[in-house]
Amino acid sequence: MRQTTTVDGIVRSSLMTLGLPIHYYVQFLHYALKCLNQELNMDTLPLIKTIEVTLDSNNELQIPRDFIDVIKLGRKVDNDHRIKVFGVNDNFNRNAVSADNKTTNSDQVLASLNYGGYYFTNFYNDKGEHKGRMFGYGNDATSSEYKVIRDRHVIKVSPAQPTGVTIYMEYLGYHTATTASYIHPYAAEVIEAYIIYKFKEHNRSINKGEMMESKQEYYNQLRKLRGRLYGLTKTDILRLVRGEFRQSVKV
Amino acid sequence: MTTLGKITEQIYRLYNGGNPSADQEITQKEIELLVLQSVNRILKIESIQTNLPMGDYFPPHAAIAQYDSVATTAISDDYCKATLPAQPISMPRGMGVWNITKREAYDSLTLDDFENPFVPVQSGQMGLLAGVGHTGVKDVLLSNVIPYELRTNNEVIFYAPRGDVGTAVNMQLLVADPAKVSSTDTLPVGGDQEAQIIQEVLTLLGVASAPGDEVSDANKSR
Repeated sequence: MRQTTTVDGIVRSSLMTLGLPIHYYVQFLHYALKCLNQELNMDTLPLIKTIEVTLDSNNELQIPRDFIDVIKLGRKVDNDHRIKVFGVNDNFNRNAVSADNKTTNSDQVLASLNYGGYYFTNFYNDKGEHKGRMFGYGNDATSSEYKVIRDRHVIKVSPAQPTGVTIYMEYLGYHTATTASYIHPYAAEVIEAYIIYKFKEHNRSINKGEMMESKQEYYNQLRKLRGRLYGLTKTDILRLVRGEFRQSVKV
Repeated sequence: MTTLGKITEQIYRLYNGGNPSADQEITQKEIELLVLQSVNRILKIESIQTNLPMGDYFPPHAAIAQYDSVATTAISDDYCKATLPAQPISMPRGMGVWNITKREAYDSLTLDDFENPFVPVQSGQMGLLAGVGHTGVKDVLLSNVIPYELRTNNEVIFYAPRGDVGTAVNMQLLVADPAKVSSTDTLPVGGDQEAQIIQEVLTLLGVASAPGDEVSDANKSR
């Protein structure tokens, strides 16, 4: 039999742990989803979604319904197989203003490279280190900027971007899991610990000490989860150290 | 371990101070009813006052009454309902309705789909769940299980079309149902609780025990 980790399975496991009947299922499901969406999804186990959206006449794009925050937002650079990452500019006008005086093909600043696909380029490696080699590449601040305007549920992109351009966005989204969706096996214990902690926190017959124990157990499980997810190996360190050593032209 | 008939007979004789006379006002049927009412009270006390504080949320198995093939009725394309075949004892979280399952055909038999029971939602809770948008708990719940809610004191609503629930369901209720317990059936109580039932029923009848008739004739002692 294949072992699977689902929300439904974790909820039933928690009921078994506490010796409770199925009449507590809905309450436990509520806690499980809170843990998944509010606790783990925000930083430990983020659910990253990707969309491609065409800017409207105001150089804005509608925020998706399951949007929490922007992770990366950028624009495909023509004929370059790269996606240039935009930065935040909080000085943009919050109102919807039609973009004008824009020119097309103003962003072709990167040399063409024959890569088979598009990828975000921000010149950092997977360990967050700057890789250098950005010779003569300015920050292009006037056009590569955006601002999240939550009250109107839009993201405004710099008016300097051409109308109708396609924006690529990776964003942190809410889980749209069903009870049968698979959950990362590492997360099973922490979700169960969270359910038990919240159940005891809201149960008047449980004394404070017992509740605090279950709270501590939840944070222990969370610590273990983060440890398991972010394990740094010797290979990782060697790759870090040696990654940028190669023969190159020195200027 | 006693039967309904045996304990009723005991109480009846105690009440009459011996053999009952022919013009007896209280009948055995009335005492049977009182016995079952007392049994239901004891079952509830056992569950709530004894088991729950010990962390045992599961009822004594003897308290579970099975009702097969309870008909369902469509309310709309999305919902259907069923009527409770008996009034269960009042328990926290509607646990008086212990289990409702789909009826599944296995070869020539129709049995409970006991591995996938319908999931109880407390009365009014679905309205709360529907408004929790950031976790989408209602959609998640409906995605994999069929929830039911005790809508009124005798009606169960299923949050699924009748086609998914079935034309009939099997129910398990926590109750000693007078309609289901015959005089030869064993009562769902322990041996230590029999005396308590006798005492309770006699108290309800207004006597601890009637005085014995000193004169051996057809007249009752007063």
